[in-house]
Amino acid sequence: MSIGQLELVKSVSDTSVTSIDVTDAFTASYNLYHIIVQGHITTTNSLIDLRFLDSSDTAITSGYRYGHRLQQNTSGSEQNSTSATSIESIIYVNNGDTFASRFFVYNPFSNSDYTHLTLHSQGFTSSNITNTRGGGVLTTTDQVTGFTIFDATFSNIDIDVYGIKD
Amino acid sequence: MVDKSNEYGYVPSSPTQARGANTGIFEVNDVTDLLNAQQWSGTFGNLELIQTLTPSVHDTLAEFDTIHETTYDTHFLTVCNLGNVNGQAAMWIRFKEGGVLNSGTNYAYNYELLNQTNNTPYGSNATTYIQTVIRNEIGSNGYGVVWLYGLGNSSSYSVVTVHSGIGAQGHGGQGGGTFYSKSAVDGISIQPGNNYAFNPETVLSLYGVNTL
Repeated sequence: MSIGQLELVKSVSDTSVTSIDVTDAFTASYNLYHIIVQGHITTTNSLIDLRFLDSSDTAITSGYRYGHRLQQNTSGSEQNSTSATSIESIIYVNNGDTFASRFFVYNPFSNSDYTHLTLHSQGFTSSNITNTRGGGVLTTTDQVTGFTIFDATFSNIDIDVYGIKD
Repeated sequence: MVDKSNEYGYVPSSPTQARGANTGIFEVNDVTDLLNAQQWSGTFGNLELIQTLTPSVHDTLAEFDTIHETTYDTHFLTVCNLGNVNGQAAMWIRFKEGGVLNSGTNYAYNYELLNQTNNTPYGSNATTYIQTVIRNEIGSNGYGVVWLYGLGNSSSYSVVTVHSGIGAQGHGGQGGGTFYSKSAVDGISIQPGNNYAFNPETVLSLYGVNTL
């Protein structure tokens, strides 16, 4: 395949769930991944979170740091943590409805580097338009093979994972 | 695709081709024809160029009327040298349904324009266009990219995310918007702001992300 090309690694969809696991998404074939997430939620005041999965498909629950800029309508605020159990607020959909999001994940499969994530998400309800820009890092050298998105009620969610050939 | 049925006397007809289900032996021209018809499977994950528009000076609209919304879940729009002949303006996006522009109050957007020292927020959750952070300043063109999600999905709103940079002023920004009509979008209309006209350098390229 051509260098620099995006190659579809995995597509996952589900309905009426409160979390979705994407296993076997990250391998030694790529160092950088582009992930597109689209869906709808029914939860109110939703700040959707992400955890990485280790090679046993077990969620890693410590060692996260993140910093985001959240904007609701024309009001902006920062959210950050240097000691978190997940990368929180990767998607912000105040009072639930449509969202779309795009992540890049860096070096997940390496067991000598931290796993980094950058994100840009957009959400919409009848009274609020929201967006999130920021990033986070898992400050352990676990070999990460997947991720889980959780902390909302998803009426539907579609995830496409692409590897970027280097 | 070019009909190959008369090329070889023993071939009764060309097999039906579709993305994810190509069959047969292909010449280079066949692949080119199928790519242009969005019928070639290609490599999943590729960005596939749908159309490039170079509006003429004083054009007030640039319109993508064929976007293959049933083929692609996600579209990608690049904006280079966005400028207009009237002065400073922010680019607008609106959508078409059944070939007809929706100019109703069905759009929402928000973004923050960033410079060296502060953020300036913009937004509306009930308006007639998605105003983007891709903007030109007087004497400096605008640049940016737009990701467009779910355009062909008639049971979902259409969502965009936007990143931009503006050369001479050192500005940038991120934001996005929503077209809150649950309908299949089949066209994209771009304006360089209200009642503004493009300059001749603007280049708009629309891509689809191959996932089929």
